[in-house]
Amino acid sequence: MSLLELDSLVRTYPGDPPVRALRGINLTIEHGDYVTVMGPSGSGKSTLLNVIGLLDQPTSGVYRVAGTDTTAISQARRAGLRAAAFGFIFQAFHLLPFRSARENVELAGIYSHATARQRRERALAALERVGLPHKANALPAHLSGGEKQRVAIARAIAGGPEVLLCDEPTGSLDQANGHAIMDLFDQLNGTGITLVVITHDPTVGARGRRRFVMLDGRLSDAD
Amino acid sequence: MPTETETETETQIETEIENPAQTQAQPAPQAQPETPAPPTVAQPCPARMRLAALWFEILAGLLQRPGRAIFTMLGTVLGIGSFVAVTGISATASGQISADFTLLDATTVNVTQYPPPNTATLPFPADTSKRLAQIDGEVAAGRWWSVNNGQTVDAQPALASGEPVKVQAFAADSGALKAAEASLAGGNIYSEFAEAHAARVALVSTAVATQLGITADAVPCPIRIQGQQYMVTGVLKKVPALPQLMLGVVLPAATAQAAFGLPSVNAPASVIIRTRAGAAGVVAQQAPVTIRPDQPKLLTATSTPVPTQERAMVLSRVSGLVAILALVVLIIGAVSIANTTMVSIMERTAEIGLRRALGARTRHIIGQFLGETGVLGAVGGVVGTSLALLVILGVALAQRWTPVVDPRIVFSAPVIAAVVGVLAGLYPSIRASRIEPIEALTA
Repeated sequence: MSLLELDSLVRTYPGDPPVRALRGINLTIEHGDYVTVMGPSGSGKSTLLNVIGLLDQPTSGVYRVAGTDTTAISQARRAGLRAAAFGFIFQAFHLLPFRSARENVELAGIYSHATARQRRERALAALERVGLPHKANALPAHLSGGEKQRVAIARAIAGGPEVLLCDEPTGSLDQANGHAIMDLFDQLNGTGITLVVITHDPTVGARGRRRFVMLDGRLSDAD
Repeated sequence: MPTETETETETQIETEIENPAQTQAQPAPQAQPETPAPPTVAQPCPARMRLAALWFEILAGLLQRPGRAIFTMLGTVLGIGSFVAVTGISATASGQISADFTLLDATTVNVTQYPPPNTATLPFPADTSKRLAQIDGEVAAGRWWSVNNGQTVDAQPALASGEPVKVQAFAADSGALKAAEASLAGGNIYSEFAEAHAARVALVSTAVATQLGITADAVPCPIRIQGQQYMVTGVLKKVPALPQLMLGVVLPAATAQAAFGLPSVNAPASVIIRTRAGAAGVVAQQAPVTIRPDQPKLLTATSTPVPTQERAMVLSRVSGLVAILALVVLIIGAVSIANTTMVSIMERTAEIGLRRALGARTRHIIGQFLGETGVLGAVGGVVGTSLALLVILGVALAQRWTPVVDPRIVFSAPVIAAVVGVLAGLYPSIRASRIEPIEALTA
């Protein structure tokens, strides 16, 4: 069974005229895949990522996660599945400014009933994996852009998710830091984590093993 | 998917605490054969949050902006503080008034003829004491007046000659002396028999006894009043409710009437009644008709006026106004909590989006912000109450009063403040929970 299955997914935002962000997406993602989706802004790739991450609901079509039809379960269970299956990485990092790196990473698992001790242990392990154990007590304001993104990645992987969903992960970083982050992604993918990266940067897009291009709400193979 | 579990979990607004029943209930509906999920993607059960984690998030959310939190709770501090202070100060002040106002005053009823008589008369029958004894709440009662038109009389030892002593003379039923809480230095109050037969008996005060050369242990002994011989049966030590009796000699009413005639216009008779605590009002109401059922309107009964009661009433009116003011301040405090929370939620839109991405449900977002406003209210309430207690203590010390505070108010005030905080946070929290995670994260 495939990990993620998108079957004729359509997402239309009501309006005048309605915005057809996804116009029938068929995509199957297996365990350990490294998927990149390239496309200009407004092509619908952010909507695709949000639907995959269960932050948005498709207007029609079926989306299965590990065989579960996510359109047929309650919002509470979708939230639970989101916490268990997905880690999000954003262009803007979204670190809480008044919390240390470790406390930011500890937020992972807070909505899946983990104990404070479990969350702390996982946070320290995750910071170790992204190479920032020495910055555990630093506030985000005292971290560089690359370090901030590493903390965000640590937060995304701390809960032990199946899939990392990355929205322009290098968009706020310089080239060297961007490359380092991409190397980290390769490394994480090597440990079995599934990656879905959306970007408009061709060099980032080229790192994926399965590369797609999104244009006007339709997905096509890049190769 | 089992819809009944979903509706159950969807409608509850409380935060899920550990609930073994629910955790155990999960596997059963999941055990559908067509979905053998990989162990890493746990079969979707509702996102859940530990109470400890929620508390941590609430406190962290508040402490990240301590200055703002303090200013936000200022309204609650002032509202709750002024409420507790006002109730405490008025309780302290009225406690003080009650202390000034003695039991003796509170249990005395006087009955007089009103309007005052214009001829010498005794409007009270001889059995007045017995009649009044029928009233529930009466302890003792009797008639008394000043004899000889209020003028002094001559008194001297029966066997000695020499200058007589000028003293006041009174008529009093033994019931009146009991009602006046008279105590004796020696001897006894004249008997009912002596009273009924107008016997020539008398009581003298300690001062007069000294002037006449009578010692307390020498009674009964004879004296002469206006030349007539009387037997002194007792020496009065103290008459708290009728202190004027200490100026002279006291005779039974019938004796006085036989010797000096009816009470004059200048010194009319009255009845003194001692009542049980709290019964003065009722006894005063019933006394005229009990004494003179034929002409109850002739008499008027008054319980001792207590000027301090008026003060208490004025004070309670003032404190009512201040309590309303405190309520208004509390409402302003609630509005300020609501307003600051709205601003804070706008600032923290990205955080809300992130939390949703981490698996937070709408109720978790609501719970967090309601928790923040509730804690703000509760802390504001505790601070306000503490400051109020200091104010009450200060006022009491300055006035040399005993501070009186109702513990129910002290302990309920922070709870009320917390409820106010939660109510104030209701609308902002629901607004926060409605923020779409997608929009929040792209910001």
